[in-house]
This record gives sequence, C-alpha cells and structure tokens, in this order.
Amino acid sequence: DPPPLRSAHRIVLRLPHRAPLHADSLFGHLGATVVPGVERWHDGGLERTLRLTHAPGRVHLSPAVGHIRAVLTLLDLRDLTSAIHRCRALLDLDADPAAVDAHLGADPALGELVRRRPGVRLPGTVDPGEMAFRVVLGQQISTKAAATLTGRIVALVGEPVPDALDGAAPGVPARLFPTDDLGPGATEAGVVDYIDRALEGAYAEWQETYRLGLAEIEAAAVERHGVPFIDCGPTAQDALLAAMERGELSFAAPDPRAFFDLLLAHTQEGLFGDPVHGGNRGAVMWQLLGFPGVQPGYSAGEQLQTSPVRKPRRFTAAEIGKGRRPSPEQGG
Amino acid sequence: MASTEAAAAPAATGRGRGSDPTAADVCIVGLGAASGSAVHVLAEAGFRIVALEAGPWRTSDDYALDELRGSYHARAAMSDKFLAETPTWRRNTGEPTHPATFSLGRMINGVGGSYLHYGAWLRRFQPVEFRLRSHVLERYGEERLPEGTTLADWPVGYDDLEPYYGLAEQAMGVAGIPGNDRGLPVAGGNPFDGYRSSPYPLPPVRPCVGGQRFAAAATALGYHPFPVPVSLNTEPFEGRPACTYCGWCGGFGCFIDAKTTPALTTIPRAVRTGNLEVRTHCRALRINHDERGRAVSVDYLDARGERRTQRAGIVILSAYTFENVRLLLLSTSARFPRGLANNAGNVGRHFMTKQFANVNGLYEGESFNRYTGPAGQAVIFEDLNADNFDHGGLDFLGGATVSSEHQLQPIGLSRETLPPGVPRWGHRYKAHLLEHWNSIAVIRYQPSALPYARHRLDLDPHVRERSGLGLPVVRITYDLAPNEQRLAAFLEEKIEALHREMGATRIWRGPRWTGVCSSHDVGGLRMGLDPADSVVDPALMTHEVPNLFVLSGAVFPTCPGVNPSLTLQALVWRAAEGIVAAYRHGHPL
Repeated sequence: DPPPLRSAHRIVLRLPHRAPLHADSLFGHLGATVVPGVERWHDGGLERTLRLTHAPGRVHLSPAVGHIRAVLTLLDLRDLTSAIHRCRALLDLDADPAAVDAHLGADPALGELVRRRPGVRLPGTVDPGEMAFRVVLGQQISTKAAATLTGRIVALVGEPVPDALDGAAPGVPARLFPTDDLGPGATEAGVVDYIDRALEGAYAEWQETYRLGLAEIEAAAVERHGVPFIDCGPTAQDALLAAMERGELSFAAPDPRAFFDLLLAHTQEGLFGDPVHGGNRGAVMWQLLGFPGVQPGYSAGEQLQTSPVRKPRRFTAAEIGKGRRPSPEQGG
Repeated sequence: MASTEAAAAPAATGRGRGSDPTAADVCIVGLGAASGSAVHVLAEAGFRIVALEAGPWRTSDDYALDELRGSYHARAAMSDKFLAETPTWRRNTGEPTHPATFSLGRMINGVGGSYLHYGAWLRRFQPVEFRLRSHVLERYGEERLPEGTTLADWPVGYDDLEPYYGLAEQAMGVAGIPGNDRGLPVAGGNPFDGYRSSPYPLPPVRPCVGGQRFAAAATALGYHPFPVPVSLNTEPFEGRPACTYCGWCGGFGCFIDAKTTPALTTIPRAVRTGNLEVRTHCRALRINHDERGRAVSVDYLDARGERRTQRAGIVILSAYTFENVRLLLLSTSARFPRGLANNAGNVGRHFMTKQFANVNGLYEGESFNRYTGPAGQAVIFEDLNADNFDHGGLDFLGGATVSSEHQLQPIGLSRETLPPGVPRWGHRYKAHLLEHWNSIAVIRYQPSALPYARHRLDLDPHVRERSGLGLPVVRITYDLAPNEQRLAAFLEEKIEALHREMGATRIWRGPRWTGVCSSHDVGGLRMGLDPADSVVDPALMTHEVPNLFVLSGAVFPTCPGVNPSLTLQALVWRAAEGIVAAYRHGHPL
C-alpha cells in the first residue's frame, strides 16, 4: 500500500516583542551554536526542526523590523500554538527589556555595556531535554566542538524528519534547473526560498494556486509511483514534470500547463533575479553565466569589445539606484 | 504657433465653470505620455487644469535596476492599477476569453505614464502612412485590400504634423541622425524620412558590437541601416546628465534621469505656470454630461478612496487605450445608453496591436555583450517598412521596422526564444543557456497591422477588475490576420538572410504570435471626418460630445510598423493648440 499522503502546512507569522531587541547578539549566538542535522543557518536566520505533540515540524526564524519573522512548516495544524510558544521561549520574546535593562543598567560594572547593547535577550530552548543534553556536552569544550559532538549524537540516534515536510516544492525547481556537472542549480540558488518570499508579498495572489497545484503533483506522484514527489527519483520526477508541461496530468485545479509555466517562470526569477529577493543566492547564477550583475555604466570601448565584457566588481540592485551610485573607482 | 504666445491670454479661464469655484477649465483623466505632452500648452495659455492620475509621481530614486522591482516584465511592480484590470482576450467571438498576454511588458501607472519605462525610441511615421488607403488604391488597386480590412486615411497629413514632430523632438531631446535637412539627404540617417524642418537636438547613441555587425550585413544586402532615434541624453541635456549606458532602461525607469520623458519636461513646465493641479492616486470612474449632452464632470475615487466629482468646462480623456474605451463604455446614461460618445456604436472598433516577433542567430564562440547598453542602442532600417518595397508581386500589404536587439537582463535572457530541440528546462536547457547566452544575436521585426472590422474592444460580461469596485474589464477580440501572417513569413525569410550574411552558425525563428498586448495598442476610438465611422474628429474632439477630447493612441486610424509615441506627441500637441485657439476665439462650449 502507498503511504498516506500528508502535505505540509506552511505558515508565515510575525512574532511580536517589546522593544528594544538586540538581534545581533541573539541571532549571533544561535548562528554560532547550530547543531548539524537539527539546525542550520541560512537567509539571515536560524532554521531548525521541532518535535511537537502531533507531528514533527520545522521553523525558520529571522529578525525583521519590529518583529521576528517565523516561517513554520507543520504537518499537523493542532501544533501551531505550542510551536509559537517554543519559538518565543527560544528567543526570550516575552522578556520585558525595559525592566531588565533598567535593573542591569544600574549596576556600575554592567551599566555601560547595557547602554551600548540595549535589549539583549537570554536565549532559551524549544525543548528542555535538548537543552540539558547541550549544556552537559558543552561544559568542558568549545562551542564548536560541542556542536560537532551534539551533531554526532543526532546522526546516531536522531529520528529523521518526514520528507513530507519538504512537500513537492523543493523538488520541482531542482529538476527544472538541476545541479549537475555544469554547476550549481536551483537548490544552490535558493529558488524555493525566493518563491516562499514572493508568495508572501508580490505573489500573494498565487498562494492558493500553489497549494492546490503542489497537492496535485503529490497526488500524481503517489498515484504513478506510490511515493511523494520528493522520493520519486530524478527520472520519474522529470517524467512527471514533462507530462504536466504537456497537460497530460489531470488536475482538478489549476490547469497543469498553466501551473507548469508559473513554476518555470518563478524558478527563472529565483535563479537569475537580483539576490535582494532571496533567490540567486550570493549571485551564484550570475557567476555561473559570467553575467556582470548590475553595473552603473559601460564605456565606449567596452561596447565595441568582441570578447566578453567583465567588470572588477559585481553589484546588486541594493547598491545602485535609489539615489545611490557607486563611485567610478568602485564601478570601473 | 508657439504655445507660449498664448500665455498672456487667460481668455479661457472661467469658461464652462459656471458658478462653482472648485470647477476647472479642464479636467484631464490620466497624466501620462499623451496628455503629458500637451498639458503645458493648455497651462501656458491660462487654462486652469485638474489632472487625475491613478498612479504616483515617481522620481529617479524610485527606480531599481532590478527586473523584479523595476521592470515592466516579471512582476511589473509599477503597474498596480493596470494589473488589477488586465483585459481579457479571445481570438474570435466563438471562443471563451483568457487573460491577455503581453509581448513586451505591462503599462505603468503614474505621472508620465509608460514613457517612464519605455525603450525611448522616438520616430516619425513616414508621410505615406497618413494616406495609406489612397496610396494602396492608386498603386495597387482596391482588389489588393485584404478581406474585412477597414483601412482608412488619417484626416491629418504628415505636413500638418511636421512642425509638431519638430517641437516634440526638441522637448524630448531626441538623439539621432536626421534623414534629411529641410529636404536635403543627410548621410547615415533614414533615407525614408519625410521632410524635416528641424534637426535632432542631440547626436546619435554610440555604436555597439552587435549593431555594427547588423549594420554591415544590412548594408551589404542593400538596406539602409541607421541608429534608432531615442530620447536618451547622449550629452547632458537641460540640466540632466548624460546616459552612462548602464543597459537598464528599456522597460525600466532611468535612475539618473538621462532618459527624457514628459514627467521631466512638459509636465513640470505646466506645473510651473501654477495652472496645473496634479492629483495623484485618483482614478476616474465615469464622465458625466449635462442636459445639453456636454461633458460636465468626472466622478473619481481620491487617494483616500472617497468618491468625488470634479466639474470642468472641458474633459480630456487620456488614459491608456483600454481604459479610455472602458470609461466611455461605463459612462452610460439615458442620452448615451451604449456609453458616452457611442450612439453611433464606434467605440471599441478598429482596434489594432502588433507582434514583436524575432529571428535569432547563434554565433558560436562569439560575444555580443548585449548587456553593455540600453535597448535604445538598436540599429534599424526601414527598407522593408511601409511601401518602401514593391508589393506588386507580393501577397500582403504592410511592412516592418527591422532592428538589432540590444540590452539584456538575466531573467530576460533565461526566457529568450530557444532553438528547435532545446527543451525549456532541465539539463539540456541549462547547457544551452550557459554555453550560448552571450553568442545569440536577436533581430526583431516590428510589423504594421491593418485595421479589421472583426477586431474590437468591449466590456467583458463575466470578468470584473480586482479592485473591488466591481467594474468589468475590457475584452479584446483580436487575432493575427492572414495578411499579417503572410507579412510575417516574408519578414522571417528576409531576416534569415541577414543572419546568414552576418555569419550565423544556426538560425531559428521565434513565435509569430508574441502576445495580444504590445504597448502599441492603438485604435478603438478612431479619428475621422465621418461621425458614422469614427469617434473623434481631427481636433481629437468626440463627434457626439463637443467638449470631450481624447488624447490617446486609441484615435490612430492605422498601426504602422513604427513606434507610435512621437506621432502621438505631435498629434496631441497640435490638438492642444487647437483647443487654445478655439476657445480664445470664443468657440462655444
């Protein structure tokens, strides 16, 4: 029998907190102590797994203006409240920073430090048992060594997170622009992160289309191969996508060809768009192409050059425009 | 006549306003490319103007060199209103509608309109285009007119517009090589140019490697290539800096104001008179008339979403083609049950659009570096345009501008036409892209399109805009006609020969159909002398409502294979002077 299909719920939340919050020290600590297999640092935040009452989950936490951005991936929505509580505990978001800073600021030794770094939090944990392990392991050795050691224990006895948490989304862009002998692909470019962010903002209107469309891809994968898309293997995945592109999969909604075109268009944006939008991570695709990124201008000589025109520095849209222009020394 | 002469004559002030102190002499709906090129004439003549603009007033600080935030393709982030009311489209009345598709990008909402992100090509139509029907009948006979075409002469000629072409070129700082100097040919310019009374204010754009290659092959084949005239500052112009050739302006706003638009020139000129009040984030809902059938006010939603009414002596409709048609059709009343100025049923008829199709060539191992400069660095020729070649033995009418493409952004390059056999995704797509993206030359043709009775705009009975106002969107009924198909086939063969002359190692055609919306969507509110067959007269006043004017490409009777912007500017500049003259001489409202 094929395993029951479980698709993940993706929920983006703003976790409010009282001001101030010294995000650099809080996330700096979290980033410096990541345990492989449980946690990873990417896109300016901490991503980690969660062991919840009804099913496992995953969260990505990053500082934003006036709040913490939390992207929760849950298999069971009944876990939502406890997941939020655990994230708040991890980041000490229920602290009263004014009272803390007033009290500690009065101390003659600490006062100046508190005034320089207001709103410092005391990182907590999502799981007291895990914290106990990490404290014991970390007592006598460096932070880095402790993380490595903890990671080994995770690898040895950790319970794997179900693939369903990844849904179909990570697999599709990775097949549309694969990682291969030619170099990095959609995975390295962070295309799924790009699409996730876009669906929260500019493409909010497509959320339902994605929800329905990805569920249809999963259903087709289970029907044809007995496993979710992510477990189908590249050949079967490509065959599924090709059938979808030709309109040969029967979707209730959306139209398979239209959804394929949408996924392809958004994948291209996540591959080649400006890194400021979360895709094309580190301008990896511009490097792969040899595209010089955004440049403030080109010379008459460069325009007549018959070999590729390179530039000493590759800019992004964040560095040029909006009244900003790099100096000639920068731009070349 | 120079418009500034009228500045001392506030004769118009007060006309038609009655006793309402908040009424204006003129209410303009949409302060974009069209009205933005005429409003200074009215303001300097003393007319008190209120302009309702649905978008914001942007500055160069608002433009990002970023395809996702700043361009008219991808997300089209500067097109909020346009995206919320995207027209629907069907090929014929027998099929259901789909959302419209776009050859280039979406239109922009904001002061200055889609000039903010246009590719800056500013070109005159050839004289023959204004009397194409007569010309075809004289040279080839009536039997050569394709079935169903409603081809008509313009009621204004090239000579009528020539001085205004010159005024617009000066105002826009056009850079180029004129084809002639008061009739005497100029080397390197377009030999098919009509008579020119004035030169271009700025020298042409720089050459680039792809353009040179194209120009050499075109010349060898007997064509006459020249750098496309553009409103790019090839030198500092009127206090704004020279273009740096960053390559991010076709489809983007210029981040240093080196691309001239009405938002930098004629609109500020109008504001400086003190006679133009610009109300941004205000969208018009309907145009009202009085018991005599004259336009009297415009209902609109203000920036806070409150419904308001602006009274005015003259109403100028100058949003984009689709919205102009829609507003007239939505402004129904007992007197105009089919929409304002539509008792003859002509609103929405004779709609035209064009396809921006291409033929690509692969030049293995070579580098064209198209990312090193703007779309305005194209090299073009008009030997295959209009009736510059004998159509006697051919099976179609019309022609096209043929151009070498310049400017290339990374998302754009990932979506270029692929050679046959290369899939759209996966390893082989990736291999093609990585190896060849900088070795492909794109030759585009911008074809003419004849008007046909079956091509029209109306209101979609089923689809509403996303604003929540519940208004129907425009429905486009349009297909590529057999005449235009045959023209495309002819051009594809000619361009393949160009690629062979350039030394391409592989040549492939892009799709002939590139999208129903072209940014050159014209017609729908045809200009003509006969009220039975047109909506506005040569003064751009509607036949049925004598103080309602339409300043828009929607009035074009034909759609030549040339960018329409400069002709639109000349036409509306002339119309604005006509309004000033008429009202100064006591023309009754």
